[in-house]
Order: sequence, then structure tokens, then C-alpha cells
Amino acid sequence: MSGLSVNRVHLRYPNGGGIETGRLDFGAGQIIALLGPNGAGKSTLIKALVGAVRADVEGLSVAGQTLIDPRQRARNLAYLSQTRTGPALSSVRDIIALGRFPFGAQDPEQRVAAVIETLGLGPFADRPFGTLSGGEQARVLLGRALAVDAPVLLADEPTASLDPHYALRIMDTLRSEARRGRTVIVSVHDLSLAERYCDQALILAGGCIVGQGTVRETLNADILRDVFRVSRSPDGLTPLS
Amino acid sequence: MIRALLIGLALIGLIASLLVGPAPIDLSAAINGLLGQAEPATNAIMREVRLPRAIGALTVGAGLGASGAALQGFTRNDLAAPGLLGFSACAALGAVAALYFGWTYFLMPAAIGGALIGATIIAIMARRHVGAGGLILAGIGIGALATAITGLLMNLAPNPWALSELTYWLMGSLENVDAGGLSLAVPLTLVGLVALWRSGPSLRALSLGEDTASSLGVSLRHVQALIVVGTALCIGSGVALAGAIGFVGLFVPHIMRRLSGPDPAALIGQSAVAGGMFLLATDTIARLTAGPGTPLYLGIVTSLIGVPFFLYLALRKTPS
Repeated sequence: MSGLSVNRVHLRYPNGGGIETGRLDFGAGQIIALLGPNGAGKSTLIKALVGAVRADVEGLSVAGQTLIDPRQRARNLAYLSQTRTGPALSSVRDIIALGRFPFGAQDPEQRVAAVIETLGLGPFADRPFGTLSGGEQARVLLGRALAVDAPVLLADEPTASLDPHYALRIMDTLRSEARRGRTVIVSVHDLSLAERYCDQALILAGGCIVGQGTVRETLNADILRDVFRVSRSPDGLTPLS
Repeated sequence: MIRALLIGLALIGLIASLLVGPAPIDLSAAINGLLGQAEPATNAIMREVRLPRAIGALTVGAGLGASGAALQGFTRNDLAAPGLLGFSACAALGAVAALYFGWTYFLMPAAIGGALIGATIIAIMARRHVGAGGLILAGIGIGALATAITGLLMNLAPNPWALSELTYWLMGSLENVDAGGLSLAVPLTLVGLVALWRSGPSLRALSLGEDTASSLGVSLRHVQALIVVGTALCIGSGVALAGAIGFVGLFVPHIMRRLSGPDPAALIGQSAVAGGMFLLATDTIARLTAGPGTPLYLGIVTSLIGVPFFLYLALRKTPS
């Protein structure tokens, strides 16, 4: 089952640093954790794939179909940004409907209603975004990304600064979307969340892929020590000095 | 609904403004005057003074309102407006430079060119994420520089202009609007309005931030080009026609947002109609209260209304 494939992602910043990957394949129906320390390039890789930063993305394809023009890319790759920006005065429903933007005037109502139903946002649907709590806003923006109904969803730290309740609800939603056949790529800092929810892991350090495979086998002692500068102990993870 | 109401109000304003002036002309004489079938003096007042002035107010106001709405949507900044971001001052500099070098025929293109330079600088800064406050500061700086150079050109001119000329360009007035200016300004403003209107759907997506908008297939360069060219055409032709009239582009979109909701695409058209109507009403009231012989600069009136509003926005605790 092929979800998202790319032959190479290359991007170099003028001040040094950047991203350099070889071929990447992410299966359909899987939830893949994108892991790495701060500054490893997780956000940049996601933004490069969805076209939010300029980068050489070679041979990008979804379900075997090469994505060429921006609209095709927008319809196949949904993106959930780390920064939770939204128009404070707009209603939840209007914000979720923006997910239908790549489809132009084609009837958005049905998909938007389905997303509101799935996420249980009905009671908030007509409230202005700015009046919601941080956790609720995060769920609305996830709903906006799901409204695209794309086969691939890339979520950049969707659980950052959320309390456990909202963080786990977001991860539950991502996993159930993967079980419905989507490819879900999610960057997280919390390794225990990755172990609990994700099928595969991709480890980034310094803009390069340093590990790939199932979460358990990828997060081995060497990677924990060399990439994350932690070690496993009976109490959980311990930082290395 | 709101649009129909606005257009209705604008039409009432247009009729009222045509009936108001130092010379008492009643409704039937005014209609005959517009058709060229009244006394020669009435014909001249209606066709060469009042009608051009009313069309001028609608044109300049529409350009200011739509530009403000589009800029606020594009920068996601409540305080963004063509005046505060320095576009109007740059356009005035362009116009004065054209006069200084004796290129009177190029007054309007020069004003548009000035606005285009100001708009491009601000658009580049907006994309570099200087922050909401930084953008406004940059705009104020650019505007102050343009105003200083405008004053310098007037000082250096071999045949120094009267100080009132400087005031005219910096405060704005519809006193000198004529058919010749309108024949250029109206079509150029309309092209600008179409460009701004076309940026509307992308502005909706941009309300989620630039990265998300890009992921939805919005070309940021394309939106930026539409906004820069659209505002430069509206503001440049408006300033060439009537000088730099301040604050209309700031508060008209805010009032429309309160009345009809936050959709940045709908706001552009609504702010255009409301801006035209507002300037028409303000000009009519200014003419009524000033009386003959003491022309009141329209920009003074709009600033008196706009500055308290600006301070309210700037001091408000919760930015959206």
C-alpha cells in the first residue's frame, strides 16, 4: 500500500543548515512519528513537503500519482501547522470550511459537517474562534486540516502546549484517521506518545534521516544517546550530561 | 443585503451632495443642469463642479476603503491602512516630483509609481515577518521620509509653491477635481479594485497563517502582487486626484467588519462602497459647514474622525 513517496528533499539555508534526504516512503493506513531534537528539521521537512517553504522536492507522489501542480499537492497533502493561527472573529464552521479551499466552489457543506460531527465540535460550531480555549482551538484547526479530506495528513507538533486530555484526544483522532486509510505523519517531542500511537518512526538529526523503522526498534539505546541525549532507566528517560 | 443597503445609501448621498453647495440650486434645476438644459451658470456648476466632485469622492473613498480592507487582510494587522503604511505619502511625493520636474502630464502615473514603491517595500517587509508593530513603524518611517522629501522639493522649487500647495497634497481636498483627472482616475481605480477583489479568496486562506495558506495552494507571490498593484492603482490615482486623505482606509474596514462579519473577501467590496459613501458624506458636510470662501480640507475632517479611532485601536488590549 503506497501512501506518500518522495525521491529526495533538498533545501539549504543561506546561513548553513538545511534538509537533505534520500527516498522516503510512507505507507497508507499508517501513522508515522517524525522525531528528533529541537532544530533537527522536522518542521522544515513537513513544510517542504506541503510546499510552505521553497525546497527541491523530487518525485513527490501520493498513491502512485505524481503531484505536479500546487493545486494537486494541496488536494492530496493536508497540513496542520504548529502555530495555531486563526481569525479570532470567524466561526468554527467557517474556519473548518477553509479546508475546502483547494477544491474551489465545489460543495464543501457535506465534508465540513462530517468533520464537525467526527470531532464533536457541534456545540462550538457557530462560536467565534477567538472565544475558544487553546485545546479547543487546536481541535478546530485539526478539523480544518481534516476537511481537506486528503489521503495524506502532515501534522506539525499537534500536541505541543496542550494538556494531557487534549493531547491524547488529538492523537486518538490522528490514529483513527490512519486506520481509515490515510497516511498520517506527525512530529512529536514526547517519545512516549510516539511509542503509544505510531506505527513507524523517522528520526531526523541535523537535517538528515538517521533512523527509520518501527518505533520500538528505531528508538534504541544508541539513537536515544546520540540523537536525543537521554538514556532509558527504570524511572523513564534520563538526560545525559 | 448589506451591499444593497450600502449602495442605496451611496445613491442617497450622491443626490444630497449634488444638491448642496454655496449656490442654491433646487432639485429640478439640478437635474436640468446635469442634463445641460438649465441656465448656463447652473449647467456649469452641476456638470463641471458638483458632479465631478461627487464622482471624485466616490472614487477616492472606494479606493481607500478597499485598499485598507485588503491590507488588513494581507498583513493580518488591524492597523494596516494605506495612510499609516506610508503609501499615500509616497504617492503624494510622486505627484509633487512630477510637478517639480515639469511633467504635469505624468502626475497620475508618478503618483501611482510612488505608491507602488511604498507598497512594494511594505510587502517585502510583511513577508519577512517584522511583526505587527514593526510593519506600522516602518510604514510611518517611509511616510515621514516621503513627506520630508515632498517638503524639500517644494522648498527647492525655483518658483516656490505656496504653503497651501503642500497642505493640499498632505491633507487632501476634492476642490480641484475635474473631468480630465476623473477620466484617468476612475478607470485606474476600477482596475485596482478588481485586483484587490481578486485577492479576496486567498486572503481567507491567509487568515490561517502563511504556511497553512501555502499548503492550501495559495501562491503568496500572486496575492502579494495583486495587493501591491491594486493598492498602488487605487491610492496613486486617488492621491493624484485629491491629495493624501487620511484614515478612511483604516476605519471604514473596521466599521464594516463590525457590521457584516470578518470575512476578508467580502470586506473588500463592502469597504469600497462604504469608503466612497463616507467620503461623499464627509465632503458634503465639510462644504456645508465651511461656507463659501473658506475651503475646509477634506483630509482634516477625516483625520479628526480617524485619529481618535486609531488611538482606540492602538491602545486596545486584545489584538485579533
